Amino acid sequence: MQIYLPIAEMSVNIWLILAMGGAVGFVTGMFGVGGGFLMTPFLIFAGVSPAVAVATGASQIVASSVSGVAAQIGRRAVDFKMGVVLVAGGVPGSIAGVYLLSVLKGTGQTDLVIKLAYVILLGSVGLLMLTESLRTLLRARRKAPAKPRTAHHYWLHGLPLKLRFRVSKLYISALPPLGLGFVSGVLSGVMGIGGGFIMVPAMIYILRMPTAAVVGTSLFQVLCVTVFTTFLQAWINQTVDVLLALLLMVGGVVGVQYGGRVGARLRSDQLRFLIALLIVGMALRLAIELIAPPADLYSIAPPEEAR
Amino acid sequence: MRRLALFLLLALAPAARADEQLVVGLTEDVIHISSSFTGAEFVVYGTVETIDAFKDADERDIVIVVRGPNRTETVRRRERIAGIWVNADAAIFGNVPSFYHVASTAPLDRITAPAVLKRKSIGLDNLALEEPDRRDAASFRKALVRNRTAAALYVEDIGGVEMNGPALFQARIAMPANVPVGAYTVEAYLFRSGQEISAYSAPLVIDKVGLERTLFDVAHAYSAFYGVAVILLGVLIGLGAAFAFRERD
Repeated sequence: MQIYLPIAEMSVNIWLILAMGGAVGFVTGMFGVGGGFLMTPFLIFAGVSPAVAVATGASQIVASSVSGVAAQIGRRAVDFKMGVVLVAGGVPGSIAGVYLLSVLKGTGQTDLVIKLAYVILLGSVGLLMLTESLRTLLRARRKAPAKPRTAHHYWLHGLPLKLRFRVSKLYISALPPLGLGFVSGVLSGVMGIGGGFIMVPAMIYILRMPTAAVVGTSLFQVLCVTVFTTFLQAWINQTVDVLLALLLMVGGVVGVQYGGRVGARLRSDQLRFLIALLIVGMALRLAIELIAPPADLYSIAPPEEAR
Repeated sequence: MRRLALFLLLALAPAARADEQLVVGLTEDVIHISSSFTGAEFVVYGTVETIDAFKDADERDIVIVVRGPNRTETVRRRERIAGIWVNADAAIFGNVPSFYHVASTAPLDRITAPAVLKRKSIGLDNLALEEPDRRDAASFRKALVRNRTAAALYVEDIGGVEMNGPALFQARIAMPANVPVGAYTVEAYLFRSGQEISAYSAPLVIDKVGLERTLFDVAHAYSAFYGVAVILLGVLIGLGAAFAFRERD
């Protein structure tokens, strides 16, 4: 069954889009990452123009993360205080990112910069997580006692503006989460993602939050950032396709619920290992795209980039 | 006096030019894009109006051209820099039709002289593009046409004009679902031994209607309101799902 999308100006198969939304939603619910880094390439692969894919992808994450946050609140796994601090850094970051993208447009390098950013970020974050989680998994198999985390006192604890985060059982400076929020905001503006795949590992490894609280808090932060981004995209670029968004949302929220249940059943080291695999896989796929000889050296610039 | 001159001009001009005249019709002159739009197909049909339709009928050639609204397009070329394929060069073309379909009764070069094809912009090799001033413009131009042909937006259909009898003809035009909206033109040409005998041109409009039109208009005219509406839709669907799935936990 086909439906014509008024903003994307193309005809798509309803079931295909629902399934895409469902798959990305499943990942969202399971790992607490928004899934934008999967959704945007999926949509572009389906023939949606990059600008519409980025903007509409963000609107879909709104629905997925609302649903995910609601489920996590039920498990009392959202650190709202931490979330608010992250968002306070994220909003100026997002504005900076949108501005950066508008500078890149017209140079013809938008695609390259986005892909390179994905490869570098996903690759390094993914590899870091992969080695760490593998080590933990192997140690667990040998039944050796795991090294206690958060017990160490390191540079992060020397910073001013200390706040107490009860849910995360942390007493740290507000500066690192503010900075993290800003970085994720920039990424959301440039790459059209919620920034969850950066936030989740950063919250685990830099802020040293307990993994159980990370997923819900990250979803909360992703929700706020994507609400902001969706509004900016709809208002300034008019590239949000509401019919496409509706299909992705319906598929996505169902996926989130099932993903959340599977995620809750897994151990946190297993969960980290799976996220790492997913991230590294995505980075590899994009790296191959950059390195492999293209089928056609020539391409027509999408209308929003043409001068 | 001026009126009389105009009248005479109108009355005498066609008769003076040829005794064969194209009469053309379209099965559709407005194409509506609604939710179920998956592309369009229509027929351009017509007849050669003449005293003796059979006289030298096989010397007639018909060419039908459908053109979409023109745009300026940037064609990019990638090069390998430090192991990565990068858009290293670009050429800008003007007057690029967003859609182009030519159908004919015979190969174009056998119908009329190259200069005529060029002047009338008939055939994919003869598109009257505004080309960039550079030596390798031809390779960019070829890539542009190749890309559009692959997307089914450019079609050259030799033999696409079918003759049903000595003077009746028709051509089937197919448009993909991503065909751009706007004002199109449908042209028909009658050639005889390389000479243009008669020409015809009619407008064709492709437009969004109903829900598609409303959503498109709202997204552009009330974009802030539209953005808030999309966000609310997302929040409602998200909460709805969380609520619907709640009891089974």
